[in-house]
Amino acid sequence: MIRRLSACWCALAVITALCLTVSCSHRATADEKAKAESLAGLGGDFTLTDHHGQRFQLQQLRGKVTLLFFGYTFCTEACPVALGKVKHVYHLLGDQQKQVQTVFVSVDPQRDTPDALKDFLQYFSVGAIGLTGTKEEIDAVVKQYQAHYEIEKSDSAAGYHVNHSTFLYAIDQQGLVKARFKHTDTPEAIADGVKQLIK
Amino acid sequence: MRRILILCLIFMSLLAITGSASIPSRSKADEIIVNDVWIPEGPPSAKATAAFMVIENHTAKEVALIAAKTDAARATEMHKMEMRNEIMEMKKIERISIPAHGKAELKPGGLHLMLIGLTKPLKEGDKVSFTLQFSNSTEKTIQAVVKKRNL
Repeated sequence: MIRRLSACWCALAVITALCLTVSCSHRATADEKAKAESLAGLGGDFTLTDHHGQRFQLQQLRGKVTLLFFGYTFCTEACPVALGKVKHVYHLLGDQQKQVQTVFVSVDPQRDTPDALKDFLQYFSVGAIGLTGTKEEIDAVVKQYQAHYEIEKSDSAAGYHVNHSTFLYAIDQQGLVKARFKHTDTPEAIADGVKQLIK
Repeated sequence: MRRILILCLIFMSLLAITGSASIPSRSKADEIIVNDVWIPEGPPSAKATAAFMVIENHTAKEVALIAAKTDAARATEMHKMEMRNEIMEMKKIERISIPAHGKAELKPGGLHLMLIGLTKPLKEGDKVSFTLQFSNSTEKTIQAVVKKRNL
């Protein structure tokens, strides 16, 4: 009798565990579907000028995971924070960081010459590629990635402010945007996302 | 008995001295207290940087920071950063209000001093002196230390 009872309990536990797993995986699938839908039609290849003054095509990075950020070198907050975070992500990735390339697209071509980008990015030691171009070229990439920026005139000694979106895009080895991290996402969360793409 | 009386007198005078010392008698310089002043280290090529601090107002009236100056930059301004729908917005502001018996926190992602046109690269451990000017005619000289950001 006791044996029968414990068998029943065991069966009940297995069924409950199965139900939980199924419901979780359903939720995970739903989350993934929602994420995929929100990223659908976003991104794609483009050509800009890199921090060596050479033309650069995003498709040169096929086979690597790319972390893409839009910013500007005069930025004192969102951009240094994002790049500092990427440095932390690289640390968390360890050896896997070799399969990742960071790309920083300037939305302030007036100030961000290739040399300015080179000097700025060197500090963060993640081997980031800095990209700039004409306003038209940059605007086209911003539109492709549904990013945003605006130059706001100001009586500041800086001359103008650059307001910009702060997403960090994770692009897979085939050039598809697979994740769009927010500025509040932790290096750990970003590293986990990148690891999933590397697998 | 005489000894006890003398001891009592000494004890009472000591009490009087320490008592008077604990009565808050703030000079004008103590009305505004500035703590935790720091500058995040940035690339040596950086043309601008931010400065953060906590400003305490120990008076019964609102006080505002109305100007700041440092030799480390061509211009020092007050700025406010805000995040709206994942968009970082920066604005120059004319004053930073510190409520009566309150404080203003200048911290990453919010209010800060903006140093524009850095006169030399700032690296971890460097000290930068500032003069802050307040609406109650108080001026304070403070020192910021350059630190790496905590991410």
